[in-house]
Amino acid sequence: MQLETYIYLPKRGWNRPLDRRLDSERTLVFLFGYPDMRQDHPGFRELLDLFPTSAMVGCSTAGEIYEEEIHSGSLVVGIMRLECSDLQIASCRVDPALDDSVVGERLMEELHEHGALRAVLVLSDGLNVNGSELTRGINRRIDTTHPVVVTGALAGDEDRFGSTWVVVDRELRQNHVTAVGFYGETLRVGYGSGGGWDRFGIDRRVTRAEGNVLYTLDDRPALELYKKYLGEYADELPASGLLFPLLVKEEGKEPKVRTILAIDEEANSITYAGDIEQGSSATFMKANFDNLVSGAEQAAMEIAQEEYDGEDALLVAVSCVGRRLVLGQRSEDELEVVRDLFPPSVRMIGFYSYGEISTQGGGRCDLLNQTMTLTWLWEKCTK
Amino acid sequence: MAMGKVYEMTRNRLLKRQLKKCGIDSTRVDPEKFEAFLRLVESSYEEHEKSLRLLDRSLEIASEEMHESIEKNKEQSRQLIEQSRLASMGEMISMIAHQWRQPLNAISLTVSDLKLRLMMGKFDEKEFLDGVEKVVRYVQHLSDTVEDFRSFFKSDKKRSVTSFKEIVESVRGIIETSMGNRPIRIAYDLDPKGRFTSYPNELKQVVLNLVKNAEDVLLERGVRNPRIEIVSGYKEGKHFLQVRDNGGGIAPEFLGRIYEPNFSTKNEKGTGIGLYMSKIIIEEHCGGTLKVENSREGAVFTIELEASHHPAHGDF
Repeated sequence: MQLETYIYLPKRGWNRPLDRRLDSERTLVFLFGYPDMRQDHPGFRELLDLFPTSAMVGCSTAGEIYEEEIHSGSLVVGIMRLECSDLQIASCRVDPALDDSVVGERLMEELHEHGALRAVLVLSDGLNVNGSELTRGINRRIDTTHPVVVTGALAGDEDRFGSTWVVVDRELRQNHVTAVGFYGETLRVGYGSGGGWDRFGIDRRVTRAEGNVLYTLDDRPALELYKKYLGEYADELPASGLLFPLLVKEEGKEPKVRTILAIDEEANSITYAGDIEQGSSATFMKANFDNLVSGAEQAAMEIAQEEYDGEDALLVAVSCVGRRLVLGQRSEDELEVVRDLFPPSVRMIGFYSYGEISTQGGGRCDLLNQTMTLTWLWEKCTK
Repeated sequence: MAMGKVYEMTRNRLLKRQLKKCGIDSTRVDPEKFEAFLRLVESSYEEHEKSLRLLDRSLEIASEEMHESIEKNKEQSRQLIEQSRLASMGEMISMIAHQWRQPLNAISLTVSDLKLRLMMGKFDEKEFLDGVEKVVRYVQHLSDTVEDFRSFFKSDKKRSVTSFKEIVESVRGIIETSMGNRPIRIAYDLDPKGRFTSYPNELKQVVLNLVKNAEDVLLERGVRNPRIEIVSGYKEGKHFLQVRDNGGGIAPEFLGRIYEPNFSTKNEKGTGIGLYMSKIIIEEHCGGTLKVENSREGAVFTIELEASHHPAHGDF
């Protein structure tokens, strides 16, 4: 694998000239950009010109990650030319009339057509997709006897929750989900996730919820409860709601963390990135700076590096916007601890998202919230 | 100052980063860079203050909610105990009726016999006095029965010295009446020595709950030669009372849940209150433990109460 990473900063342009020699049918361009970026962005135009045959995936962010730094208003790019593995891209428009699990199924069906899938990286619209349903659909097309690593994220829009974009057919589009499939035994994929939030306060019962929309906790409007806790910061909802994610526990299942995507004052409801099951128990969570940073470190430590021998490798770091909001200027602490655990031959890019996706126990993927989720890609070609 | 020295002067990762971001690498600072640095430092102070304010506020609210929740739970427990007491009272009334039937019948027969003799002119003073004596005994029995039940239901929260033997003996009549004609054999093996200070009426209620529970299981499962054993004793500094049955025991998946309110393994009959309430009475009111395990034959419920003195020392 040949690999280069770049960053385009406003007023300064690219940090160094793009290497067009990387362009090929086996080249994948990852790009993560600020939400207001448009098709005529000079950096994006240059990418389109210099990499005409390469595949492109990317999305808008709540902060771009380039090595151990966070940027806003930038375009971060990773260009990966595979030597002995293959890749394919599948995309699908989100249809409000259809369950989002159908989107997940369609993407996987399309990727399966090109051979034995080894890994999939999914990038989804961040506001109009129920991440739980999307992963449910993906899982329906995973044969657990032939495991496929699935990671990814929901696109971000800073802390504004207005609109997001995903790169589809070399264009920046809303309401789409895209996935890149990797093929070949030579591809190595590592993945890990870590949270680090603490639960606090009493357990409450989810007394009314539909899909990813929560109405009441213990028969009281959940939105009012958030406002009570947030006090003067209630005006900043939904962004300030990210400070209090919910830990949702269904009987007999692993607890899940859920973060706010939107509020509806009229319906007195809150929309989350993933499902909230009626009847489950819900507890607020709060941040502890050190634990969040340790959570990110844990994600990096989960990735086994035994086979790694200094090859060029790409580390895609996706962290939740809620973490950035809480950690503020200390957000880069979590990037530094991750970066420190990998050698310089591993290049790190990524972004702050509205939800992370990663393979969990049993070979199934799931929507995660409030985590640092890492995907590590490299090749071990036999010469 | 040499280049880069200013980073070495700081240990804080954030401060280092702020200096680096603003391009400040010596103490001779460009005013524009210094202004940018100040803005970063100021905003990190603001972030810090905001998170502190939020933390203070949320901890205060969470603590209030926690108190409210504790109070609510206490109230719920109190209501459940009351509910359970009322339910038991209903059962007791039918038991009193059952217990009264036989002496009332005997009184009626005795009085009718005396009346008949009088009418037939076969009056014998000795026989008459014997008959009256019998009626007095039966009436006393009726009165004792009422007293037994009345004392059982007294909301008497006073601690007093008692023993498991006394407690079981005092409800033995109720237990046996409750069994009626059912073919359940009840065996008692009660230690006469172990005395302790506790709430006798509450303990009686728990004993009745446990026995009733065993009875329901034995009948529901149609166990052959059904048997309940009530055993008390003293072991390792604790007085214990066991209620054992040969009903086959509790399914392992339910063992951890049987004390949850409204959880019942009984078909239709179970309210799910009995064991929950028993656990609260033993553990929260009497300061003991209520445990359950499966023996080879069935369930074994054990009440354990801490002894303040060892009975061997003769002060019980």
